[in-house]
Amino acid sequence: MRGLIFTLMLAPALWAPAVAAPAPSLRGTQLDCSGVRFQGVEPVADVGLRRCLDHGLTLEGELTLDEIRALIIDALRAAHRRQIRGQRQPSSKALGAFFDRYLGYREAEAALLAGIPHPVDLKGLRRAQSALEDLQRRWLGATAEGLMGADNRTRRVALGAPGHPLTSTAPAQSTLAIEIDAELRRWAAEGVPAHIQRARLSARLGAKAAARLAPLIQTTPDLTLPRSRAARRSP
Amino acid sequence: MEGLKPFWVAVWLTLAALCAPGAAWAQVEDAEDYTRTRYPIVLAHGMAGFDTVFGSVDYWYGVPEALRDGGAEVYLTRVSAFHRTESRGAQLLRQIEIIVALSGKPRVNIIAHSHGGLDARYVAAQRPDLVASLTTVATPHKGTAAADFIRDNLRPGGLTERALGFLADQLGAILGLLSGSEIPQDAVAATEALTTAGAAAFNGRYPAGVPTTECGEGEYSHNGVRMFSMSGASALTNALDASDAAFAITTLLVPGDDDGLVPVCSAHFGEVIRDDFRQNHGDEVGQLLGLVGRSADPRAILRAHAQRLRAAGL
Repeated sequence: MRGLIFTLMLAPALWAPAVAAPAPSLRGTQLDCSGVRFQGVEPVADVGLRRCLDHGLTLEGELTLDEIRALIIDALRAAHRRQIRGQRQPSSKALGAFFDRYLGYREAEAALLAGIPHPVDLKGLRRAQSALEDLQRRWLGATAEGLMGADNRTRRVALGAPGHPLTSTAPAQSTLAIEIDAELRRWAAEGVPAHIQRARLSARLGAKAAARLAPLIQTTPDLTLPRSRAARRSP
Repeated sequence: MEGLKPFWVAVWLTLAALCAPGAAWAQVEDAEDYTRTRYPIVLAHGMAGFDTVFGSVDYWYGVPEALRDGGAEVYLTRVSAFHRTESRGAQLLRQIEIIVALSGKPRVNIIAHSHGGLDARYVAAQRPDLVASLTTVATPHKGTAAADFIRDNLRPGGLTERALGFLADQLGAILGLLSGSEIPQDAVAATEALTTAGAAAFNGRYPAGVPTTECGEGEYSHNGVRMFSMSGASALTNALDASDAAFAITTLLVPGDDDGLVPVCSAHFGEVIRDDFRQNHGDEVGQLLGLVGRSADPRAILRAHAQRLRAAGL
């Protein structure tokens, strides 16, 4: 019995997979691989997988590439275990090969960018983007679109039509405070009565938010604050 | 029965040990919760802060949506591109008051780049009740020799015309690319805030979080505000990035390791998460157009940091 107890108590140490020592910058957080999805034993090449790989690579300098590779494989297998129970695990070899291919692409990307003459203008950036997409197809094949497609689309629009509003990928909600700040300043400069301002805020944001914003309403310009670009641009 | 007790204790301990890593993972098992912080995340830009690149691409390239995808409520802010810290800080405070009102949450987590970190320190000093955490990214808390150099030499006779012309061209290229805007009238006054003397004066007024040793950490918490910092330490990271050419010049002005503009020790503040990411000053916010080195993606670094804030209950 004692032998059995001893064996069971030691079991976790014996079964624990060998993983790299955690990088200092991982303290208090975890590798961003919980968003990786699987089809069978294959990780789906999408933004979730890209985030996992890219987060792992930010640990360069704290860990060796071999250690990062081991950490990512371990995290991917853990993600698979959580999603697909009772089926065989993806092999470390296959996951490692995928990591190596992605790393190979990123090295080729750096070499390509290093060969582009300076100074880089808009035309040069467009050529570089086109060359990058060719490179992605060669290295990443069918996974290129899933891993790099979103970034490519944003850059293509930005480089093809500078000033195109679609290239701002920030969620609309994220700029709301900037807009409200500009509106409140403009209304104050125009001397809009407080009750009118509150009614406008209520119509746009709802009564509760308008009530919370009410203490910030002013009816005369706050000359202690420099006018923001937003305020200057407001009609 | 009595004899079985140790056995069941052992089984229980074993199962508990086996489950422990899983329990830790369970906190973020749902990818949609990876960055779901308790309080909204506010992104504050740095000097030469701009709305867009080429008129349309964001300062924090891809960061807001990367954080939002994990469940965070994210707000951008906009203050004067060039101004003294207290003025920019007052503008930032006003927008944070608005964010608190909009979100209905009592506090925010501020993540601020470069000069934005000083603005945010002003906010945390004035209204610590509104700030759950402050994370500065490559903020020159103790100033930067690059700013000293610019202040000392941007006057007639300070540099040879050729050298000054080259430096101005390179810096102009950054500002032109990043902001597409005119050179502001108060850039010199703003630069003063980032000199070693300007930073020392600011630290005298707002000392919280600033390390008392040359290159150590600061206090981790002050007035209930958790404080973190991180920075890059690579001037040249991406040959395509036009800013690299400028950082290749400015890094020569900064003794020791730096990100092209800010010395790593000057970037220390509160708990130092890491001070040698393979990023330059532009890479830290994903410029240009997200074309950063393979180990420099700020979306990855800041998503992980948001997860850290979440794990800390912030």
